[in-house]
Amino acid sequence: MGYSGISLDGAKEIFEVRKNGFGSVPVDLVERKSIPRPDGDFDSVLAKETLNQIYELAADNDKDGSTWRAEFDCACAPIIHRTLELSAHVAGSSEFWLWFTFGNDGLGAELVDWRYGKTDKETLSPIPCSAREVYFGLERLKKGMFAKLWISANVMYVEGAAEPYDGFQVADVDLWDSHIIDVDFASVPNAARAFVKVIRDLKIERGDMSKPNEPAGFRDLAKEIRRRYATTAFEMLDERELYQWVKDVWEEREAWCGKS
Amino acid sequence: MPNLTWNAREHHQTYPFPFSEHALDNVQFRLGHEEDVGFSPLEIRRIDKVEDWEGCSPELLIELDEAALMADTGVSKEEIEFSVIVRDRDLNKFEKVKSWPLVTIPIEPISLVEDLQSFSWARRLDIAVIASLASSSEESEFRASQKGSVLANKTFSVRVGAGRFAFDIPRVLVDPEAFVERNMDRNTVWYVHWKGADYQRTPGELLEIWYNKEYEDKFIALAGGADSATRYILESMGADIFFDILSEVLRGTDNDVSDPASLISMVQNALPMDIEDARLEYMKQDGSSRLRSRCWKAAGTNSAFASLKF
Repeated sequence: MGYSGISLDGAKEIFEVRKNGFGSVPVDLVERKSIPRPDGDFDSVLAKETLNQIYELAADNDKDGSTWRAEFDCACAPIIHRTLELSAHVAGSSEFWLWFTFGNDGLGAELVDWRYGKTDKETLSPIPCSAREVYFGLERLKKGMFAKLWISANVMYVEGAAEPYDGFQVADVDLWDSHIIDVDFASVPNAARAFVKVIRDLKIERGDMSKPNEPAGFRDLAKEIRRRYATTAFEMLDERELYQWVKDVWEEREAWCGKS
Repeated sequence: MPNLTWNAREHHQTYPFPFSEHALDNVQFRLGHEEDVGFSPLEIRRIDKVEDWEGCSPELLIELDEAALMADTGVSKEEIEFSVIVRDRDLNKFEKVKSWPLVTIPIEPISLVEDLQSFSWARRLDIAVIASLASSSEESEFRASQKGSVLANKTFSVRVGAGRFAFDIPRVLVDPEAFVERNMDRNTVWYVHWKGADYQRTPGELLEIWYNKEYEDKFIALAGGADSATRYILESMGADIFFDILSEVLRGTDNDVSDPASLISMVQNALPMDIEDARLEYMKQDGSSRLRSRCWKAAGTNSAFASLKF
């Protein structure tokens, strides 16, 4: 079966054309830039299905308040992971994610603009390509909007569990982007789950590491865990052990960060 | 030694408990029996494309210095677990794929072919071999006491080129005076040394990367690191070579390039076939300077880095 991809150069060309064309891209350009990839299988119908579900989720989001982005991400990540049914080979292909974003009638790129871009004050529509290139997947794979959400969901996913994506109740962009996606320790699934669930269960706030007089938060906790991961292989511990371990580290916070 | 601020991940880190530096020195990562190619812990195995990686039969040969491990760490044989961890850095997927009590480690080569099927064959894959404490212990004075504490480790970094240039270029440690002789600062960290100008020759015949001996420990971090500073520095090295000869290619060489292993042939193959002039110009003018600025941003601007030769 194989799967479709778009090379980085091809995607950059589409990006520029889309930017200059106020959002429209000739269909044949996308077709010309799409390349068949033999090193994995993917049913392209699932891409449309996923994008339609995300589109509906976006349509229901009224962009009110300061937390709509985080809430959208937390609802979107399981949809992408569950519906696409990707193998690791396909998920690791940046060409696949570029095709997902720019192919499929450009629906993915529209969603990136909606989530990360600016809005036209008159029409209230997203301005095409006003989001930074990185969110379209034009830089590192895991910084692209869709790949990033898939990775977040993949690390939290527990096959066969009653709530396979448990933990996504914690809606905080900083938590997921900076302390799950960007750090090594959270690439160990048990550690990521333990970290998120301790934050959820103990209602730990974000905190501010630069303010020594303010209470500690999950930013302080993440930094301490990163430090300890250097000498402890979290891959050896199960989720229950790690949950207790993270909880203990948090309870000892006065010893390692001097904050309450 | 000058005070060098380094952002790359250090492999020689300080452990809060005794750690064995050399117990795993003889563990080998190889690509099958026939080739019998062992990689040093500092070496990055570059594979040009995913297909190359698929064609490999990666395996580990575990030759462990048990006596050193126990003497260095103060931990008994029965308390040690030995594991193979795969770290797929593109997909954020770090998993233990094999594990044994120390006393039952296989002596024959261990195939990793099946284990790697569930990873992405992504561009950045680390295979870590770790000896750790199998369970937490009450005994905590002067030794590791917590389950998972790393007693010894060795990491093999596999980097898939994904269509990028991946040259096999000798790396040479040189005295600072070698830089001074070429009118460079003695704190220069690395330098691409051209041994000739015949691009029909192979990269290994034409180029050497010189590393300053005074920063040897930093290169260990550089070779094994996977953070942004490391990546940008390595990319900048590549850019230094690439853009130098790109101008030759752009000049429209009519030379008959018969040897696919030649440097110019590799560069030509690295360029997309339908690339437009404007894009090439952009690559030439913007590519290296962009890499340079990113590298500076990531690595800092102290005296050593200020004299990096791009």
